[in-house]
Amino acid sequence: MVAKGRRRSINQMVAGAIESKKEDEVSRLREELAELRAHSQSVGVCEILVDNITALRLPDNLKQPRRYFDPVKLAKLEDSIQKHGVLEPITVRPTSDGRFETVSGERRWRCCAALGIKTIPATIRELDDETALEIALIAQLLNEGISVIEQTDSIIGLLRLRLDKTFDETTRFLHAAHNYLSKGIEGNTISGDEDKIGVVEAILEEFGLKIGSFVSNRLPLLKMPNPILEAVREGQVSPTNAQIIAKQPEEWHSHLLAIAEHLTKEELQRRISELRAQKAQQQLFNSSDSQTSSSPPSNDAMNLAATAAGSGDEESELDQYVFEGIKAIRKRKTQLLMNKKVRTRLARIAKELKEIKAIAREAGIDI
Amino acid sequence: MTQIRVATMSNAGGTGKSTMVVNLAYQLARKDKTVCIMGCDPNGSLTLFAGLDDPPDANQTLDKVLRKDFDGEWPLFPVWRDRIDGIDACLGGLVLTETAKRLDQESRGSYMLADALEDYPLPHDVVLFDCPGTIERFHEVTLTASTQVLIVTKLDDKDVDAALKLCSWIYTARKDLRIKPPPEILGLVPNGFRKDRAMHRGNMGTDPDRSLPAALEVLSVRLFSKIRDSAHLANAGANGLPLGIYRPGEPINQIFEKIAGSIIEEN
Repeated sequence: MVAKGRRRSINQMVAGAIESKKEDEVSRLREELAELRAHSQSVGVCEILVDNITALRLPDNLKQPRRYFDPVKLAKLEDSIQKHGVLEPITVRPTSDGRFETVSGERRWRCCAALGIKTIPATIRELDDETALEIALIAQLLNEGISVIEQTDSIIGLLRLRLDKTFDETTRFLHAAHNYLSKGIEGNTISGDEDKIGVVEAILEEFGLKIGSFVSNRLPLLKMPNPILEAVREGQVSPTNAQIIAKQPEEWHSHLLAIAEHLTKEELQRRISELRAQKAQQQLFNSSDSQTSSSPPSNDAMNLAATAAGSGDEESELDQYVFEGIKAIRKRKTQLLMNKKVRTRLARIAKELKEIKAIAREAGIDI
Repeated sequence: MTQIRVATMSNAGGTGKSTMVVNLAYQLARKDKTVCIMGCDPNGSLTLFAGLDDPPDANQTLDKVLRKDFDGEWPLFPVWRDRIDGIDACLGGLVLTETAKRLDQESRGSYMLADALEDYPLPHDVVLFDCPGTIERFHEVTLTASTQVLIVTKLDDKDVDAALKLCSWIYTARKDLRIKPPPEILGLVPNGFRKDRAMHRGNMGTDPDRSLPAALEVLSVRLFSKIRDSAHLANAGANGLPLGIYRPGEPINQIFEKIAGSIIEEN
């Protein structure tokens, strides 16, 4: 008889390491920021008219960091600024038309504008586009709450700048670089440009990333349909909501984008469920209209309704193949687990199960 | 090419570090690199696995190097010279317990090895440090002198937990010690894998709550191929030979070769 104890999960074990790694990275980024700031020319700290400031403008619609401003967080910041003022000077650079652009601190500036505060403390620096973007990105990384999509987008922006390529050219280059580094495949994209791979690696390394994981885990995030991606960049929809919308049928996208700006994740999900129910009803309505007279209307209507709503046949099929199948496999667990091919497939199932749990959580089902 | 310096570390004893060091040295030498292996462990297992005898006195060990009055004459011994060229050893052993105490009293204690390597550079392409079993002074000493860290771990829960704590320590230490450039974690090698152990299989990924591969993915730490528990590997060490000489046909050699390859390519 074996006593039941409690095994520590890997997540608990890794939490400490994640924390230390973050602190180490933050510390390094701060140093870099300090260095970058030291290298650029400074004209000192002044109080600048809030009205004289605009958001950072970069050439060629370069991806600007921090486009989505969470209204709740912004409200908190406003409160704090109203009470204490802006404590830390923002960084701005002078423009050719005598105004100033925010390099870091756009949120603080926006809060001042919203509160009607006349001036804001700012450090003015002469910065070229590249350095301005870099400082903005690094400063943003030091703030909490930047979504992975925004970060990925911004990093590609930085890469574009350094490599002098378009967005598509840059993502293609990243894929090609990954293939070159991991498999030695030198396609047309890379030949002659091997030194640029080093540039990419150096930039990614500043953010603790490697080309391999960036290509497999980050680039796919940007594969959303363009209208949705643009909405994220314009700050019209939160990155979380954007990903939810991207998974819905295309014909719903523009409607959802229009309403999603002020919805929380849960509210958006509810709206989507409503739309789904409406669609199912619509299908039932349409199909019962086109009945042939030979079949008894009520039965067919019910079957079609069942299919349209995704219940009945589909559910019993899943029940039979999935749940019964798992029961059957469990009986031979020990033997099967020694087989590498089986283990690979089980690992895939484990991944799917994780996603199912996440979906259940979002749908409010308690597991 | 700047000298590559890899510290092989773990946070538990008997994980296979010394074995890893001697086998990596062999594979690197096969790729025509010159290697210096350094024993930083009081247990002196590196001496045994390199087929050498314990040096008669402290002046023939790493202790000599870690003195303020070190004259630059590294105490090196040739390793397996009758079979392959290019590998030398600077040995550790019991004397290192005294060395550690002395380092505690020096103002630059944790940097003395890095300083010695800077003041009196070794000619070798690669330097491999064999670190002690649990985190202690020699981990800091080698970390400040390394360009990369390789973590070797066994696969019981306690070992996995210890390995992740080691990762945590590495990030903290390199920040606190302000090592420039900061040494990277080259990767982690799961060692002593036994397929009949559910705990091992679980920790290597079939259990979604316990997946070491997934945890390392989050940290962006590379996971090398697992080395299975092998009597041949143990016997090779006991005979003072790398597996590549003792039993060349053994597939585990390919894993060592791959790791050696990534040591070279990361630089």
